Amino acid sequence: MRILLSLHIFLVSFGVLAQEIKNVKPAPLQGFYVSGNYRFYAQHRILNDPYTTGIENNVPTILEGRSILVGDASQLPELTLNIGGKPNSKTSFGTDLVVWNQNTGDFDYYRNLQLGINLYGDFSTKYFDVSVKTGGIFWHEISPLTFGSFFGYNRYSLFERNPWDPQMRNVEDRYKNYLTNGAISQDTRWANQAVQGILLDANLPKNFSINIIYGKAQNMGAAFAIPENDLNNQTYNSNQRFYENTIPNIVYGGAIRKKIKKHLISINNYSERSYSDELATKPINNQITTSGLHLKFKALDIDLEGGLGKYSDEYNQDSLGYGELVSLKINTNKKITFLPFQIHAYRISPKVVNNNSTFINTSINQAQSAASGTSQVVGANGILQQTGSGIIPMGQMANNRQGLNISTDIKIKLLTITLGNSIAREIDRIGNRVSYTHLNGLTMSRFWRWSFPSNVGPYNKKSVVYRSVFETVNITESDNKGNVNFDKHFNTMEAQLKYKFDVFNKPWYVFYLGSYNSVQKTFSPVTVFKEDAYLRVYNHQLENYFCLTSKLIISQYLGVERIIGNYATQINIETQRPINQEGIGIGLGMDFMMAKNTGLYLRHRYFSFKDTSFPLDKFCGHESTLEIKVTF
Amino acid sequence: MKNTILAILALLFILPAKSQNEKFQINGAARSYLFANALQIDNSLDSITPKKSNYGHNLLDLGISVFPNAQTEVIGVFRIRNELGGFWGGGVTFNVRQLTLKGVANNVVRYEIGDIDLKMTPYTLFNTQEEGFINESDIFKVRRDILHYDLFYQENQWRMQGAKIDFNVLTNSIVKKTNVKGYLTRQKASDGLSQPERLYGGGSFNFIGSSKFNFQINSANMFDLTKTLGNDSTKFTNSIVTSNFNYKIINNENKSMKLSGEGGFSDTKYINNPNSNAPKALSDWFYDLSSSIHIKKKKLRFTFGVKDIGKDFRSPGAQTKRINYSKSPGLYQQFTNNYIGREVTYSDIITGNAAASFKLSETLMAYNAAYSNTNPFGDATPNRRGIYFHLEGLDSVKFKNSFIKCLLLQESVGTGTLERKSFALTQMGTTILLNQFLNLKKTLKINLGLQNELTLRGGEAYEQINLSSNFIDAGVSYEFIPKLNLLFGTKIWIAKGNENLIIRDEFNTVSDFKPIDINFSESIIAAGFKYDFDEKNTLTLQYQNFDLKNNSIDGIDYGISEFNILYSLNF
Repeated sequence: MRILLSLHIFLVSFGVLAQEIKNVKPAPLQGFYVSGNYRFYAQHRILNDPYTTGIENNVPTILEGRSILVGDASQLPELTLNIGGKPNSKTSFGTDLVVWNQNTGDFDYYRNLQLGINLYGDFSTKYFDVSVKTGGIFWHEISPLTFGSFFGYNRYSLFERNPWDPQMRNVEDRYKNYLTNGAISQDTRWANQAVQGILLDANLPKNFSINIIYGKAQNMGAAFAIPENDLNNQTYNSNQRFYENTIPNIVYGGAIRKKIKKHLISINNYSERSYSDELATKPINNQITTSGLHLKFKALDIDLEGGLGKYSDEYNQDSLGYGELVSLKINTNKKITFLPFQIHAYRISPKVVNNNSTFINTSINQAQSAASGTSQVVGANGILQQTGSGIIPMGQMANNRQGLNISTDIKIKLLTITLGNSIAREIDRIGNRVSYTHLNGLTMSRFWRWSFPSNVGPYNKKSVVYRSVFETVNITESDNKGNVNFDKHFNTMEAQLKYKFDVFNKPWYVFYLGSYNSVQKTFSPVTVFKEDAYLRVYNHQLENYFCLTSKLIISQYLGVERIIGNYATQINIETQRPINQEGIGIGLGMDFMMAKNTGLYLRHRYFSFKDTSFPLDKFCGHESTLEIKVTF
Repeated sequence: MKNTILAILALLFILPAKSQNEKFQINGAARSYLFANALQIDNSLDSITPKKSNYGHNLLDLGISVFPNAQTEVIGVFRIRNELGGFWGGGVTFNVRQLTLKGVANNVVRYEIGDIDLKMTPYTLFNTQEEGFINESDIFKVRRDILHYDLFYQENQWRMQGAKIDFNVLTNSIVKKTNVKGYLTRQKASDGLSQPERLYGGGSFNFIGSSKFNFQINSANMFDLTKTLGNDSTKFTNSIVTSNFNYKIINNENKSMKLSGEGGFSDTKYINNPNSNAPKALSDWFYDLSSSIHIKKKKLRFTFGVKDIGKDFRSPGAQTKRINYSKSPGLYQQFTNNYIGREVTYSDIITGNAAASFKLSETLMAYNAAYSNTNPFGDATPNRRGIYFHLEGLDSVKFKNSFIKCLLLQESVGTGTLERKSFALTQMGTTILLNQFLNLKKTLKINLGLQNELTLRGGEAYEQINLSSNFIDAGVSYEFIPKLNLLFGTKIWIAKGNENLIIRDEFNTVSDFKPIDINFSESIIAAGFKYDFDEKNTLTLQYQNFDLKNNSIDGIDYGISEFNILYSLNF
């Protein structure tokens, strides 16, 4: 107190010079934005029939009764804030904070970043223009066979998808677009793969351009060991401090492209480098190089990509050698073929594997990277993918397979019919397993929330992937090594019908989607509907959307699946019969725009599944979800 | 972490989505930093260390400055970091990097509370630069800037938590103006068992007579607060009081001449310390006087000085080293088949892998005698006396940053013997704008830095010390396309001889000596590209190779190569 008093007297006695009025500094950013969305998600599920999700120590794990969940488990948070700014006209940054919680009463908020921190820059010189992106996650495509993702023929159920995706000003627009454009509006993820690191694009003289990526893909990530409370250590700067290990696990590649009028030729490469041991001495290498040719004529589009790939690891040293991969797409229009046709022929060698492309792996047992450490998180170990000889949607490719897809759209006023037929054959006779997905796959995947286990369910046949479940069936006509001594042939036929009509002057949309698949040992030009097929997978989905007002849509869904195996497939010892499955989904819902950019989405689904030959494999119940989505 | 993220969200919601107006500003930094390393070592020496590494991070320091009124500013800097390879939320951390309230009270007293930066004089509170760079070239500088930013090593300041004030007093006497500064920070919180509350505080009175003369009194004190442990037993205090002055003797068109200096004393006490090795009190003094002349037409400045720093002079604020040489660096922390800890090299400092200080150390930290033996603890290194001179060429069109520094020092008292070590440290550097000589439009710049250091001690064979080290820091930068530079740089350190390392206990008392043989050559060769979006925003892509040839007994030869990409934004 005395000190303060002395100080005061001192200041008063001698006069004071200060006038230190703060001035706001010059603006450091040219722009700063915050946007995003809020999404409330609540789900109630009741199982009328309990389900055996797995067996541990010979004791079945039973899922039964009610379940309430607030907060989605599938990377779709409650609050997403996109934050970004521009330090100058050539550079910018952005990130996305996400928050969600399960409203358990503990106020325990999960908080994180969704895509991470992204930095952008571009500059021009006399010779070239360069665009640089670093950080991640970025959504990117080099080419379909090197680095990209499957997007198919836009045949899917809208009821099953996130009902707010995308949320549009007019609630009807989502369904209207699907009818008229053949697809709903998609974001940047569509057909692209997630990548972190650095992406460089340069436009060169004479219509050349190059694209380079270097970094990590979502199945070539890293494992971390982050201390629970790192606050006390914020200035310790070791760059490896959060890593469980720093064993290389990288992807790199790129493309050189030349544009000639409307046409495009390219050379593409995608490579992976990792190690399967902790000393980083046993490399896992993957190299895929293709050349692409995209010819665009008035009545014809030709898209050809072909090349070679080579995979090696400690188990598959150089024994695999190079394998070929070719994909040819020809799109015709009415002028030359009366109906527009999309023809797709492909051949992917069993020696080629690429989990970051449009084809799935059915032939190679890959070594696991030591970089994944002890972590089980997505990104370190990769995402579980459908394995075995998969029955896959039309357009989806697989290695060890060659095939031909033909698809056409027929438009008669407001009726659109799309038809597709796919035939495929395995190249090498590898394995005796066939896998397929289920109609109620999304609902089933929620039986194992927060994890992606494989070989679960009452008969250890089901495996959980992101928003789906696939099941594996063994063909019993195999040799001692488990290989079948004939080629597996795959057929898929798809039919879609989209129609709009008015009821009481209000638009009504009807969508039907049917898929008919078979696997058999002989060639067939169409799906085999008889006992000759090892496996037959059929499903039908009928959806109705009725616009009561411009802000309210009533939706309805009916789905049925039948999956039938023949006696050359695995049978149940008790019933002595192969799989004979039936699944049903009946849904009712509502889309309601409560206010501008604010929608309420209600879905109720009755689901049931039973396999009469495998009596424990059955469930039925009801699932209701309520979502409120606000974009800003 | 939860509070951090909620605070970020709250602030972002409160603030309108516009980067700056009269009420607030957004500033900060963002970067992506990717690394790929390989350890090069003979397999017979090391077959158990993973030799290849790949890692990196992206981070965003989101600083929000809020101005509730014209005299007040609230600064919050939130760090969001995302490790390379962390997908869908993996490898993400949130931290608060800074929280500060600053303003002007009653339009008179400037104040700062919270996370503050402090600097006084080189003998009281001063964050001396680390070893390994003299007029450093761009290829290394761009990375060192990141390191300094991360660790708050800006303008020789220390980042601390506490409060500081600053105000001026006008008078009508010989002293026209008095600038008063004061600060109080918290170094350690009491653990309730053995560690009392430790504070660090001080201030200065700067009496300014005219533009020719000023005189300043400084004080820096580290002390344990009594009655914060209950029994009030042990207590540590360290007080430094110094005064410094600047007096311009001549200042005309042709030349100016200045006298300056600082002198003072330190007093260190270990009160009631149960350890019998604890000295009750250590006191010592120092002075540093210099005279400089600036010949304006020739753009030369020459400084000559004399100094004497007592052996027991202790100043934690000025003697704490930036780099902790006693800890192994983060990268390849242990190596060889014997799993030994790797010693810090200057390559680790550049790459940000060395453990760094962010708190003042009351003990004299470990150092590498081959890197710095004359002044390992900065200007305030104890037990040194001698002379120094400094010749500086002011920037011209063709040359920049040209200087020669020379220190000829000797120990004030011998260590372990009556013989005293002598030190000769010479540093010189210049930046040559070669394009001015060659009439090139594009900038072609050469950075040169050289250092020679000698340590000698005579006497009997067991007393003799002869250590020499030479350091070369050189680089080239060629702007072959506007803003796009081709960079090349090298650092070479060659040291040979012997030294008797001083081992100190926790009270800074010499407890032992460790004779060591030094015979190594270390080199970094780096090359890369840099694009400057502007002065603050840079993209670089580099490859560098560090190589260590250690010819001493039990020395291990190894190398580390590194490919890195750094995209750094500052706003």
